[in-house]
Parts: sequence; structure tokens; C-alpha cells
Amino acid sequence: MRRLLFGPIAGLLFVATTPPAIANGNISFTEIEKAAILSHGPWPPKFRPDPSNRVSGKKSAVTFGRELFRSRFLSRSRRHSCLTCHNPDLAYADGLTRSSAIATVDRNAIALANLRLNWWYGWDGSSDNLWAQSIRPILDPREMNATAGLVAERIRSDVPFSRGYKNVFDSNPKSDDNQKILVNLGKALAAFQETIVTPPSRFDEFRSALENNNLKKIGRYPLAAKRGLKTFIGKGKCNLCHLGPNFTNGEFDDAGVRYFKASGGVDKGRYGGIQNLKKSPYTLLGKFNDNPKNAPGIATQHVARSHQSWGQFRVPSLRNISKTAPFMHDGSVPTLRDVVRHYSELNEERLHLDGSGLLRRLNLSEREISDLVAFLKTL
Amino acid sequence: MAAMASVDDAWSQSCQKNAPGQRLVGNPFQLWFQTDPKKIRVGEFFKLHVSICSIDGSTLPKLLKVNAGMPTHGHGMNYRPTVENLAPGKFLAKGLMMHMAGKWLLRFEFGQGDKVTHLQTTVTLK
Repeated sequence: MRRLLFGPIAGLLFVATTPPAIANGNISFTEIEKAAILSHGPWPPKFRPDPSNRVSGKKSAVTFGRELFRSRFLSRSRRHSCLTCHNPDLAYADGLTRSSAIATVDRNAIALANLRLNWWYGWDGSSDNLWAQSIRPILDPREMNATAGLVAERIRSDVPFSRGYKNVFDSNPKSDDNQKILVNLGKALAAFQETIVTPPSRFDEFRSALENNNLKKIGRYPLAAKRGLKTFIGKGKCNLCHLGPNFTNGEFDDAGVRYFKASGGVDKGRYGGIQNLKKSPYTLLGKFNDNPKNAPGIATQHVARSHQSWGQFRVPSLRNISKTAPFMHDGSVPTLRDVVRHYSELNEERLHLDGSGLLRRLNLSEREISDLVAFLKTL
Repeated sequence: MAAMASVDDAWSQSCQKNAPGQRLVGNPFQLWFQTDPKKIRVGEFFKLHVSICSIDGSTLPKLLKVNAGMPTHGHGMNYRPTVENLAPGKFLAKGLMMHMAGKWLLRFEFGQGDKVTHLQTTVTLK
């Protein structure tokens, strides 16, 4: 099998005890490994408007959505906004273990970047579209604690927001019913959030260099990150779930993290998410979908709730991951190093699904852990 | 429309020996299927066009269920496909999605009266 050799220092002799993969200070990638690496790009993917949201990609909706996102206007107390838990200075997360507005919720705030690539939203996938997910915190008593009637009345009575609404939706909030206004606000918020995309990373530069066989640029990518990447697609098999340009399969799995809530009881994870999805009036199967023909909700029609769904949570994207600590659905893992150590020392007894052969203790060395962290920091 | 015509063509030939698509031989039936789209990818939904063909002229059974799983991981799909009976011996399965690369076992369950049997094949996704 042909191997590709890359590194900043070619031709130096190292002692025989140096592991083969980094002989001569270089890292070698087989053609199979190269294909695996290239599958994580290119980045960013081309923007495609969400067919279920008629204002997706519309400039006025992005502007209006940004204003709504920043405004405390949507919370009952006028004390909280989307920024409360999704701060742009913290990669649109909040840095807390569990987010807190009116009350502390059970889960860690998901960083909002690259959301347009998802087909499920939230740690448990309670929503099958971004506008529904944007409505959820508005109505949650622990977050904004509003109602459709409350936000509709505020839109109707506020001159700038009322004007913004008319401009985006070509409709007068005084003649629209409460539910329609709430959903439209969700759609404007979604239009804004779709524009939050992480820029090309150091990994993307490396990937592009690898694709174009640009040895000079390949050499700029840190050796530790190259070794970590090799573990990521090799021994670690991390790319089984963290695949593609967004480093996620978009689905759910049991990562062996505790699922008892701090507030008491069990977090049902995906099982509860599917329950909520089936009850929601805001799915792609409902009347608020603007284009059922092009967004028919295949996933929602066929999603299966089973024993397997218990204790499963979103497989998160790894892009920008170094800026979104703490980690896991409950924020119980403080650092990236702790995350890698979690999988290295995985307690298989904690996995909910008996007999699953997917996750196994990786038994990584300290250097392998450091290398994986170095790689993750380049995403 | 071109794609549909292509599937229809393949479907009309599905009980012939050299029909495009894949064939699983059972007794006294054989099962033909073609994925739609033809190349399936990790994380993308696909359909299956399925024909059940009789080898000895026996009455055709019904396709009851299609499912897939990764035996080495001990999990199935996160979705439950539906099966539509379009004509005698011809079926359309919707809502399949394989969310991981690797070896999947694709299983077809069909029955006639009280008798339920199955045919299966391996699909490898890269």
C-alpha cells in the first residue's frame, strides 16, 4: 500500500526506538487514511436555504432575526435573551455546566455554529427543524417563560419590531394570529442562526494542502495534531460517529455519560426527545412547514423510539470544540483532555445499551491523549 | 422522470436473471432489490425498490418488513422503514438510513399466511 510521507524535516535520522509512524519526524498516511481525512471537507459547505422556512437566506430575515436574538423582548421578565445562553464571545455557548436563565436547566448549552447542517436539534433531537428549536426556549418556563400570546402582543405593540415583522413576512402582526407570529419569529431567529458558520480551521488548511499535495502547507500542520488525527481515524475510530465535514453523523448515541439529572430523576435523552417531537405542533409534518414537498420530514416520519434510545444524546459537531467547554450533554466533563480520557478509560458498565460493541475503552497512552487533544484544537 | 423510468425498467426486468440491481436467492422465491439513489451514503435516507419472484410458480408472499443493523456494533438503524405494496410481488420500502460507515446487514422479512421467512445481505458503507 502506498504511503504518503509529510513533515517539516525530511531526511533526519532518528534512533530506532522512535515509533514507525513518526520516523524521521514525519507522519505517514496511507491512501485509505488520506481518503478518510479528505472526507472531513471541504469547508464550509455551500449554503442551501431551508425549504421549510420561506425566509431562510433572506437578508431582511437575518437582520430581524439577529435583533430578536439580542433582544430581551421575547422573555416574560424582559431580563433574558438568546444571548443569555448563547454568547458570541463564548462560541455561542455560555461556558456553564448547565445553562441558567430563570432557573438552571438540565443540560449544557449547545454552541450554535453550523446548525444549518443538522436535521435534528437539541441534545435529544426534540425538534426536526431550526425554527421549532428556536421557539422552544421562548416557551420554556425555566428559560424565557413566554407564551405565543405574550410575544405576539409585544410584536403588535412595538413599532420597530412590528415594522421589522411586516418587512420580513409581508404581513401585518395585527392581522396574524398568535401562533403564526410565534412561528414566524422562530423562522427569523433560524434565518439568523443559519448564518453562524465557523471559518475554515487549521485542520481545513491541512486537509486542503493534503488534497492538493502542497507539501509546504502540509508541513505547517503541527506534528502532534497529525498524530492525533491518525488516532482519530485509526485506533480511536472517532470518525465512526464524528464523520463528514461537520464531524458528526447528526444522530444520537450513548457515550457512557451519567444520565441522572441534577434536579433529580433520569434524563431520558433521545427517548424523551422523540416523545416530545411526536407531540410538537412545530415539526415538518405540521401545518407550519412552508414547503412540505421539498421538506417532507422523512426522518420524522420514520424515526424509531426504542429501548436503544434511552440515554442517547446528540453526537455533537467537533468544529470549534476547543472553545465550547464544558462538554457532554450535562456539561459534566470540564476539558477536552477529560473528554479524551473519558473515552480512553470508558466505563463500559455505564453504557445503557447492553451488548453494544460500538464503544470500547481505548486505553490510550498519555501521549496519544495529548495528540488527540492537539488535533481537536485545530478544528 | 428519467430516474423513475430507469427504476421502472429495472423493475420490469427484476425477475429476469440478468436484471440490474441485487438478487437474493431463497426457496422457492428470490428477491430482487435496487436502492434509490443507487449509491447510498452514510447519513442519507434512501428507498428500496423490491420485487419478489417465484422460482416454481408458487403464490408470491408479501414483503412485511425491511430492517438493517450493524452486528459488530450491536445496533440497528435509528429509523423504522415502511413498506408499500405497489403491485403483486412489487414493493417500495421508505425511510432507511445508515448512520455509520462499516458493515450493515440488510434484512428482508416476508411472509405468506402464517409462514414468515427472511433473506439478508451485507451492505458495506465507506
